[in-house]
Amino acid sequence: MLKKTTKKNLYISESVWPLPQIVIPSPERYQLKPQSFSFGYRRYLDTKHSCSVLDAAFKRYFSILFPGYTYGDENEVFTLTISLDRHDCQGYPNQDSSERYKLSVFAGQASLNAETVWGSLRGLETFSQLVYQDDFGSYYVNKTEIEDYPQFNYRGILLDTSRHYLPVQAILKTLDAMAYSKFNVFHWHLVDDPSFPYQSQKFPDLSNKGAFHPVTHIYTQSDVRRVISYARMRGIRVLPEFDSPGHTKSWGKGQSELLTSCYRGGTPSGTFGPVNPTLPSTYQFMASLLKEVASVFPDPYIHLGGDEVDFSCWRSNPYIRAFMRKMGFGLDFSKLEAFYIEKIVNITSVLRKTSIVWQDVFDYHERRKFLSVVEVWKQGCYLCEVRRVVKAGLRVILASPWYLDQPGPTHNWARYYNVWPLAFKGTEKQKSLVIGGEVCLWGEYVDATNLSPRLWPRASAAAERLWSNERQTSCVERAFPRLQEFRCKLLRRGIQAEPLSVGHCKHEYQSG
Amino acid sequence: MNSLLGFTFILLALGSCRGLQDNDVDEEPELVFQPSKYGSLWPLPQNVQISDVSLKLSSSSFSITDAKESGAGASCGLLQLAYRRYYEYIFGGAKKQKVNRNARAGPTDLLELQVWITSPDSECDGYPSVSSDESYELTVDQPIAVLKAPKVWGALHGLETFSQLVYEDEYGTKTINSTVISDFPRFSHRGILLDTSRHFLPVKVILTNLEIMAMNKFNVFHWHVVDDPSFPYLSRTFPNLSQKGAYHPYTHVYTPADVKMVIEFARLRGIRVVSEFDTPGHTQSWGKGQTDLLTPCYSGSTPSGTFGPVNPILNSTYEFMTQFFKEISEVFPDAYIHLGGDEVSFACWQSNPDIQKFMEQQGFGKDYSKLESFYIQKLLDIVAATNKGYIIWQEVFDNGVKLKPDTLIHIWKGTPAAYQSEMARITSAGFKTLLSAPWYLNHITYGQDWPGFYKADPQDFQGTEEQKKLVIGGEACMWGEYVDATNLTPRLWPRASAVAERLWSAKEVTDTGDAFSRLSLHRCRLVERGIPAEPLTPSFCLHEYEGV
Repeated sequence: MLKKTTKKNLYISESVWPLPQIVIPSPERYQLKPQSFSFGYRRYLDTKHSCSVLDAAFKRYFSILFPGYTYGDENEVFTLTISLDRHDCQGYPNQDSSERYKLSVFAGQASLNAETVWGSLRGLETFSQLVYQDDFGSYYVNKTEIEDYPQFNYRGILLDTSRHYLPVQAILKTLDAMAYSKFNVFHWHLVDDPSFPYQSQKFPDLSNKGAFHPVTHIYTQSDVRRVISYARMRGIRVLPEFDSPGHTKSWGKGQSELLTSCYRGGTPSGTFGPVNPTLPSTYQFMASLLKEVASVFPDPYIHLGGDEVDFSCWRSNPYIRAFMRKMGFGLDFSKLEAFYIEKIVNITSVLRKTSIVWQDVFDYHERRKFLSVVEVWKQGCYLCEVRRVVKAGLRVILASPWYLDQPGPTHNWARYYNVWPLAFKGTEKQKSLVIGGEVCLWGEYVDATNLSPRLWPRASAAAERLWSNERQTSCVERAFPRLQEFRCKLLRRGIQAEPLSVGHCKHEYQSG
Repeated sequence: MNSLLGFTFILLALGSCRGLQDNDVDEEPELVFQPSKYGSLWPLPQNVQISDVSLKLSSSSFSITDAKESGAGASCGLLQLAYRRYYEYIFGGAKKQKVNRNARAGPTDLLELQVWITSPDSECDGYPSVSSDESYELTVDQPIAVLKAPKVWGALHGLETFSQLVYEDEYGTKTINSTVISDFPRFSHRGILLDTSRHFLPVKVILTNLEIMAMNKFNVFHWHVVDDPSFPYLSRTFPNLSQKGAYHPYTHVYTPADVKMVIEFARLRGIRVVSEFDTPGHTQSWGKGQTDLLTPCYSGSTPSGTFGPVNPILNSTYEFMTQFFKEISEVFPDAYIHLGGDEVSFACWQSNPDIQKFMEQQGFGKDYSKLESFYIQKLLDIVAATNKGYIIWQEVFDNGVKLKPDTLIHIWKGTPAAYQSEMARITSAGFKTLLSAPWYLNHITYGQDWPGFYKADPQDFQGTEEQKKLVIGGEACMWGEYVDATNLTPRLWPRASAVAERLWSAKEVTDTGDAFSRLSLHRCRLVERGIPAEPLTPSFCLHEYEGV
């Protein structure tokens, strides 16, 4: 019911999610026929070196546009012609990749221009959302001009594969859905206390002993490569997180002497705390592991974690206390933590990777110069924290308002929409240090059984905040029918996105 | 009994984690996984003795057969289908291989489960009812296990229990320990409510959930078919109701064939289908296909164009209801129909001058609950004439409607104190009752909420033994505002399993620690059977959900 009214009140182009920056809609429309539709490269492009990323995207989007049809090869009547300013299809998207595109549907043809292949992927997604079917099943697209670019360059989703193992298929499916909402970073929180599913080449015992199961519950090197390549095809970066010195219980199983022995009275209690920051072997191990990570993951960034370090075990250990005295740290264990993190960050820079850390590292350390990107995750006045970080001249990723593992009726999606990452007092330059935001789906109560409906379509609310112009998307009431439509599109594409309120989609989710 | 942990599972007792940080979860004593002596049995049978003697099951030699003396043989399709189902559950979907006659059975092999229906009338071709005998006795011993049950309904439960006793040893061999069980339910009505009006649920999703219900020994599917938002039930007598009132007249309706399929699928699993057609409120969608059924609301002295509850003052209303419920009573074989009766808003009735006049004529004054009672009274008579019993939501009782003594009253409102005193009132008036108030599973929170569902006991109220006997069970409700095929199954399971044990097992089974261990394994079993049942805690199952 709602669908009809939205159809009447909305231009089709308004239902594009996230909303493009500049849209000039028109009631004039052109019919599309699956048999005579094609994607094409602008002629001046050397077609002998066609772009594998785009060729794969054409295939995907053809079946999204025309479910059930195969790529037609009759005489091509309607062509979406793509041109790229830089014909580079081999690389990986990164923090500075342009995602800008121009899409023009005009006089029975469509053209899509982008600076990079990543921008053209965003444009293809937009085009796919412009095509609709009338009541008789015919396909149409309206005359439309769109110029579009993201508000923030970093638009991420964090999945936690330690608290529950997520089969590779569940990750790939999430990458698909991310592309539909124009997310561009998959923050892979690979390991944590409960399990270590990453199969390291250099330290196979980490997953042999630290994974839930050494064979079925791990990510092999080929799994990881598959995820990275699948993500690349969709213009998505894969940002690995190896969180230390806390959140490392599972590491200790396969790497002896890495974790600190906790003491009770004068003797070891048999339990272990954070990584032991006093031993040279720790840094040899970390350097070796991070070197491997740096070569396996092509992204120029690595997330080093650094959150929630519990000092009680360090405090109990006489060797740690002796080290503290030697270093002149007094009783301030945050100095010890800073000492550790600084070394890890330095190891990472030597590998020519930029580090991202959770806000704790920023909060507890006086020397902040060695940091580059801080991810703000704590609740409360998170913008106060954002302001502190940018004032220190560091870049910020905002995650606090987007902890989606907290379930709730989907109607609370507005909570994730009414977020204003730049609503703090600061200079333009400071605001430009906010590079984006991230939806976190921590895994305590989430696995492959409930991941998709818990993530979608609520994460899409965050997606629009991170992509679109704030002023054009400040009204929840206007966003609601658009998000409803978008959620139905997700269902049509096989994404298990949960309902926002009472109602229906023309094509309901069919499995299960 | 360690080897009983066929569904390998690990609980990680962890301190703070990011997700939990800023939540006011009320910190229950932490649940730690410790293997239960009852393995993965869920819900826990009334009497269980598991010995240390273990027997092996081989997919090529093991079979489920009818005992010679059984009151139901090869002609009982219900049982034959169940044998196949459980064979596949036990051997992980492996198709039955040709029985290898030459293979020697070892002294530790279990070759056969014999199913013996002890009563001459197995009820194989009947429908389950509120008074069905669901008891069974299971003896697992070398070389043959025997499942005895008076009726097929008990046999179905026994098969599920048997399948829950089978585990894999460390070499992957299917193994079962020598066991004696005698079992029966504590309550006879153990239901799940699904709402197909606020969101349409494809038939396949309903069938999947019936399947899971059987794995949890639920026996009532309360089908809240229609409500304000849509009318997906395709009525043969009044096809316009779904033609105009469904979200879509073809893709979002339940045809008579669909309904039949649901009922038969449920019957084959010992589950009753109790349909609800809620009136006089919650009926917006009815009005689209049936003119003059709903009350026109007025603003000032003119009709506002909107409609309220069913119009209780027109004869045509009752003629419609008579025909409609005649159809319903024929389509749904169950002895009960749920008539709703909840949340009637009086504002529209108050605005309508014809209704006001009628109120005066009847001497109701300004008391619109009297008008509601007037309507319900007539409706109950109409339904009584179809020889069906009826269930109604608690408001009907609260409003003082005269009810037939065999009316079943369904409690859904309020805090524990409120619903407990309601139960006391209803049972002291001599009525039978059903509890749902603590089991609104559509309400979700962060973390583990199943212990709350688990601890709610339907007989926990001030009353005599006689009164307590009037509580015939309860239902877990999954209202559909925010639920459809995309999230129904993980939202319902394994949370509803907590309710299942409360309604099946003995009152004294209240150890949440033991329950946690069994439920964790039960959840992994559901996942292994292809059900997306969500996790209870950070943990893993040997076989994770693959249906992504």
